Amino acid sequence: MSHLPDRFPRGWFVLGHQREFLPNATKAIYAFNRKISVTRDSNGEITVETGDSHPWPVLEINQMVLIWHDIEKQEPDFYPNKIEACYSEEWSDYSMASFLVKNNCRELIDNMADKGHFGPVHQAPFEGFWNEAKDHTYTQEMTANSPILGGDLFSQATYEGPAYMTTYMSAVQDGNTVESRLLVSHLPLTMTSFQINFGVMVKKVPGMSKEEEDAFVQGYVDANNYAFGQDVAIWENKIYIPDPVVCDGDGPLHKLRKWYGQFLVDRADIPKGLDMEKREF
Amino acid sequence: MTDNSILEAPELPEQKDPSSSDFPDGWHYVANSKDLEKSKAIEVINFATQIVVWRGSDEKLYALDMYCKHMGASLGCGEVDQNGIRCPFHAWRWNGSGDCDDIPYAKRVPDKAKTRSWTPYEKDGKIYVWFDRNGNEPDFDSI
Repeated sequence: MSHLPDRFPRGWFVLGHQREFLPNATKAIYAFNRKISVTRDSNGEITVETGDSHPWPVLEINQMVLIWHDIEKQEPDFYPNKIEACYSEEWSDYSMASFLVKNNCRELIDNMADKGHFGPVHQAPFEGFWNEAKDHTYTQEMTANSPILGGDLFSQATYEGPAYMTTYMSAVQDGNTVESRLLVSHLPLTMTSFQINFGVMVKKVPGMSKEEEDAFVQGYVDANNYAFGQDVAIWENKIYIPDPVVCDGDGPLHKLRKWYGQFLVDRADIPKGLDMEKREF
Repeated sequence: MTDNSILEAPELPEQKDPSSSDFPDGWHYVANSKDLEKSKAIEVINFATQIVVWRGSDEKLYALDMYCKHMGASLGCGEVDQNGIRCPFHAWRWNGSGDCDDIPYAKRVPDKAKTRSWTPYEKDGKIYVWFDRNGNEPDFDSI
């Protein structure tokens, strides 16, 4: 297979929601071309068995269990930021969903800069669109009026490393401002397949019953499932263009791919100049 | 110990290089005329490379490489717009000569936005596409 990366990227990868890992139990997860056994002991500590002689670092943060993948076998050089909403009674817990995509996981990343696909693929034209790259983070901001997610939509989505993206979103529905948080994470299974694990949480609305809240969160999960389905239809029936001809309306696709490339090379080979100040496109 | 046998990696598509195919030169049947109505497009994979063939609103037939030269989506999943075909990914419209002639969200179309075109021909209710590895012009007397 030409053009495929020679490795899985370096970074933190979500194995699942922490509630899926019960004390005194081992769960098998398939990722990185191998079976990974994840065990939580009676003290709550999580360890992983990957088949490698060196241990893979594990982290529990923002309700998720994450694993550090690095073919150089070094300690993590960055960590995801703590999100207060994940620890607050004012917010629901993450509701999770997942599905498999038959392509290399880099396809998902293109979306961060791919301003032009929102209209044709998601029927969701936007108003403002910004991108920013800083060290191991890449941020997209967007404003829009969405028929599905509400009017006066604002979203800020940040990748911390190659596979852990969190979004803050606010939208107006029936005159009320609704705040939500999305998680878009993925685990590569092979070089040509990956699993998306995504999560949705909302800020509880005073006076809303548990049933109403659950229904509301489920509505957001369904809407995102639908939107991912639209992407997958494209992803599973396309080739990879390594050096695309872009037009003046396209986002900073080449810049984004260079930023992502830092996770696909040894640390010593990371080029300078990957940062990009926040810009509107 | 890594157990690679537990996971099977799907193969990813690529636009096949027609010059390296062992496909014979000449006209190749790809579809029946009745299966390609006006403003319809079909994917053809039994050819020297994967192609999209469509019938424009002018009733003429056109054929291009199947995968969009912009970001790689299949034009076979696209929609015929007048005599061109619009990619489902970013709505770039390609004409039958292989030039992109419209991008809804761009001020101008880049000069490099070109793809490979093929020559279809219709006779007795059947659709054929010409292939010649040396780039010789279609021989309409041979059909």
